[in-house]
Amino acid sequence: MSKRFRDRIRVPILGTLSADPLEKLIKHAKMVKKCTESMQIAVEAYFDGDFDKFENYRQKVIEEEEKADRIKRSIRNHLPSRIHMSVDKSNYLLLVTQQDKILDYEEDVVQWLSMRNVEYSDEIVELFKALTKKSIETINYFEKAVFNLPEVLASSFSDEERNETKIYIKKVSKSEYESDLMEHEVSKKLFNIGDGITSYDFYHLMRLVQLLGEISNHAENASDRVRTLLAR
Amino acid sequence: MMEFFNAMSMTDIIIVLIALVTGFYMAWTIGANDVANSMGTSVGSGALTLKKAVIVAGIFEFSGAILVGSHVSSTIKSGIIQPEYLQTPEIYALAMLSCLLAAAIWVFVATYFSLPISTTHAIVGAVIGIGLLLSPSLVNFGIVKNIALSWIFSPLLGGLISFLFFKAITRLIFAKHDSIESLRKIGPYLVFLNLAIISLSIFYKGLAKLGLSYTAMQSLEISLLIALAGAFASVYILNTIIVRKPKTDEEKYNQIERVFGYLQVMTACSVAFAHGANDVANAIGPLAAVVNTLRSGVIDPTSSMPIYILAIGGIGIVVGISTWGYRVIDTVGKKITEITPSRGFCAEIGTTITVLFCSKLGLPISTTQVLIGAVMGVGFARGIAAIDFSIIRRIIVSWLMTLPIAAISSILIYLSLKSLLL
Repeated sequence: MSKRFRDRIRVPILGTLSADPLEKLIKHAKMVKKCTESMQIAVEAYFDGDFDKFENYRQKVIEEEEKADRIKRSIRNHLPSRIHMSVDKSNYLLLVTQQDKILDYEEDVVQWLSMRNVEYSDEIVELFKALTKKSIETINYFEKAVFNLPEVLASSFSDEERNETKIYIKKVSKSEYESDLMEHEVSKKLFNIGDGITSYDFYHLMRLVQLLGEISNHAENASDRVRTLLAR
Repeated sequence: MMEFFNAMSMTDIIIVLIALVTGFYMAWTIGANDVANSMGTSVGSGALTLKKAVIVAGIFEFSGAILVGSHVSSTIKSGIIQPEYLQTPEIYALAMLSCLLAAAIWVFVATYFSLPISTTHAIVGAVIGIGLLLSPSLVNFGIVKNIALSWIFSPLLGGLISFLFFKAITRLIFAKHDSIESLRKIGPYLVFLNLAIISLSIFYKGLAKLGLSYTAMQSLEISLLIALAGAFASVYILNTIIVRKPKTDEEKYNQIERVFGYLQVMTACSVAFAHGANDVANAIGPLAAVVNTLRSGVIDPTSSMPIYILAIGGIGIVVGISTWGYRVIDTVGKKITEITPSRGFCAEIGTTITVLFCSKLGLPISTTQVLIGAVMGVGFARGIAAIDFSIIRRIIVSWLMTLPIAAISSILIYLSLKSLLL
């Protein structure tokens, strides 16, 4: 019997299973984590005046965003209607969309910064470092919630695992709320800083505030999707 | 050997020899293709090595075939058609040989094109085809209807049982704060249940071939005793498997799945046993009909299944496992990692109960399709990340294809053999 013939097994049981979509979601979320770390380094380098380092990490953010996009496309291409998932499929896809939005805004942040290289005053640098940190904190809590999803499934949606995830989701909300307050404060300061900055600087920084705010907004939206996925 | 063929004409001897070879081929292909269903998940989860899987699969398939295999065989050889109304024994023998050949050829072709067909459907289709050709009044449409219903009903039943088992395990083990401790307590009950089902199917009308027969009450008593002994043994075994308190959640689930890995070896053996009981009939039902009829010279539908025919089926399956089946088990094991041992356990226990139930009723069903139903049941209980529903469409297509193809080809083979031999 030829070797080729021996490979023609007919075991229909294999046809019942589809690759775990959650695995790809986690892969995408890991890309979000990686990209966030690169963005953080890039923003800090920018405000430290280390523009070479900034440029380096800006490129990394762009590369990582592109890689994540490829994962996202593969997720969307591999979920035909004949697949039944253990979690709600439309919510799952919306979660991917929100993760994608986070990445988009992270790319926007570094691209926007790169419009012009300016060494800002210490006061402004401190404000923006703190604001960036807050945004990233929101994402970090969101990631903890997402990375707990496989355990929720492994436990077959036990209360214990679901509650653990919900704790992180609550932290995301809290962090997003604090980030909103900070945005408000930083914007107000920018308006009242007076002649210290040019109108170019003002526009550059104001939009940065908004972009950083969008990151934590979408981290919250994404975590709301995780919450819906947990529903029994 | 010569004594075996005593008083047979040359034609009869040729028919018997072809039947023996084809029956063996059918048993071989059943072993080669289907055994991965029971053992694949256990190998995939690492609870069994490939070598051990092949050995235990062989043992359990063989004993299932020998001990419980005769019920379904009699349905195939004399339940679907009523051979006592046939004119000569030769016609009956030839008809059964044609069924065997038609099913074997179709299975061979299906394997070549990787079609997910069922040997059960092939052989049943072939027998119905021959029945309709010889005389539609021969076909026992009551039994045919029951068989057709069982094909729909059995995957649903398997799915339902597995769904309920998984829900129960979720509630009793996974939902508990100390899941591992719960598993230690629940495990022996699961072992008890599984052993009780298997031993009941063996002892109740199962050992007649060995000259032992028990009443329903006696078999129940013996089965419960065996199950109880197994459960007590499992208390000890579980204590040795569960050694330390897990530190992280991940470690906790890994440990639960590891324990289920051992429990699943038991259910995998049960599926192998049930599979042997039901599917071996596809090969040996017609074979026994041919050999019995030609050796005795009379059509006797009530004639018992000779143990050497059962053994041919059992050995065929074992040879199938060891020549090709192990590769299939390996492939399935590597691809099937989405099913964790706890999920596999539930799917397999649902399959075992359903298949043994149908075997005892003499219903030839497809073990594979019951298992697919069971896996879907676990999926509906949210136990599996993603399930592909297109398999249902493919199974229905394979049904619709297999029945007429097997029927028509058995008719054609019968007509040509008849003009050649009789």
